[in-house]
Amino acid sequence: MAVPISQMWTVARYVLSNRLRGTERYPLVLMLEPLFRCNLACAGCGKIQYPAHILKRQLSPEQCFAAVEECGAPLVSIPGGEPLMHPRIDEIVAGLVERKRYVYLCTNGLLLKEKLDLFKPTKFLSFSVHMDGPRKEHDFAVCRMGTYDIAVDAIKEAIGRGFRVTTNTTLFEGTDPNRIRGFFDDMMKLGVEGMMVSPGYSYPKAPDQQHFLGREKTQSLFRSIFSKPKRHWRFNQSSLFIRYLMGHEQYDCTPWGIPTYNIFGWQRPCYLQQEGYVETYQELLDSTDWSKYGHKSGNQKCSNCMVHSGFEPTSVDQTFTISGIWKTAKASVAGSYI
Amino acid sequence: MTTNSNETRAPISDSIEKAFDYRGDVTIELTSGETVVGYLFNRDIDAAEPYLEMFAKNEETPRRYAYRDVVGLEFTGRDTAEGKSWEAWQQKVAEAEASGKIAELYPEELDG
Ligand code: SF4
Repeated sequence: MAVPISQMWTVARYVLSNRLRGTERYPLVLMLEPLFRCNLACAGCGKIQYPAHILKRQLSPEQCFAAVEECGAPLVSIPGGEPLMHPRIDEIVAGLVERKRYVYLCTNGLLLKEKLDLFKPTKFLSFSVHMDGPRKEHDFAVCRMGTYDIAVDAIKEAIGRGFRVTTNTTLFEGTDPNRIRGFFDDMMKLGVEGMMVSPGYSYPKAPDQQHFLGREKTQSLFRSIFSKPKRHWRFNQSSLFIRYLMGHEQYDCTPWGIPTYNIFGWQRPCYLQQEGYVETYQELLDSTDWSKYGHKSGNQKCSNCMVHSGFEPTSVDQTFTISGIWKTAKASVAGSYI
Repeated sequence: MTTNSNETRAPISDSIEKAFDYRGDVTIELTSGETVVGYLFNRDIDAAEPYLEMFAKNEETPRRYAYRDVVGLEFTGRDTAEGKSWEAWQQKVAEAEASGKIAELYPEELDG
């Protein structure tokens, strides 16, 4: 299965209409975090370190719908925590599908098989399964043995039942590019629709602070992985973002393009940094001093960041320029990111 | 508790800033004498009336207090970001591998 034409068309029409209108800042993907609770405790994750009474809280379906409608992004990613632990996740997904949003439900896969009956296959829903590389690397990164095999089993089951399935992979320091290339082959063999890959971000609250990649190491790692991409690899992210990770594009982040909403409100300034919360997306746009963020700002917390939530919206926006169209076409026809 | 008065206004806003960065519960004391235990998740010192927001334990909706109504703040809950190191996990796996006992290593249960 490939990304449905209707999804590509929806995104293309949405981005082009914003560009034509001259909209300076617009949302592309809403990161909707309905809860922080998780059944894993990955060392590189800074999302789940909260007191128990915070971990037990969750957004109601109504709060989720209001956020989605206010923001207007055509794509909604549901990370967490582990969204499948939300007792009303089926209602949330059904409501978003009804609103014709393309939903990426992120999961570590541990509960996926047993929860599949809650959902119906539709072009509007993809399961985005967290896979941090081959078995050994993945189990290590998520700090729990056996997780890779459970996730693979769930992926097979979901694909077999007609669901769209993608993977999302975060790469850390010490990653062996050849093992990741082999991992991409394995995921394609499983039949996933596409893969997403991004370097990790050094969350100040993550237990592991030593294994995040700096910018140069990120570029060198991604060049090693993607300099000779295989024709059967499919990615669920823009070619320009991959070129950016390889150091072939110089972008700055557009964090308003992937805003985050959770139990605290709209997070300022981005999915990665928590500098405060506001009540509406519009307030986030209007009251954030965006010049304080991104590489050019000199902000220390931004200096090594090359994460998809900051740079994928920039890449997608750039896809709809003459050079962006040419580079994207080259990547899909010739299979080259150089 | 850190106290607040006209002379010591800066320390209380400093404490609020530290509490905003802290991943555990705090206890605040108000001018009314009431104390509130909860998780301080937001603050805006640049607002016309600087305020903080917190989820008190066992309450659904967050509470909002003006800085000027806060007379004390203490870090009373465990810092949940503390003490779970990557190295400890590496060591655990290495030991399990060495002893040939790579069984499932489960994450900690949620406390409270
Ligand atoms: S560079 Fe990264 S951390 Fe900084 S604002 Fe952009 S997305 Fe957030």
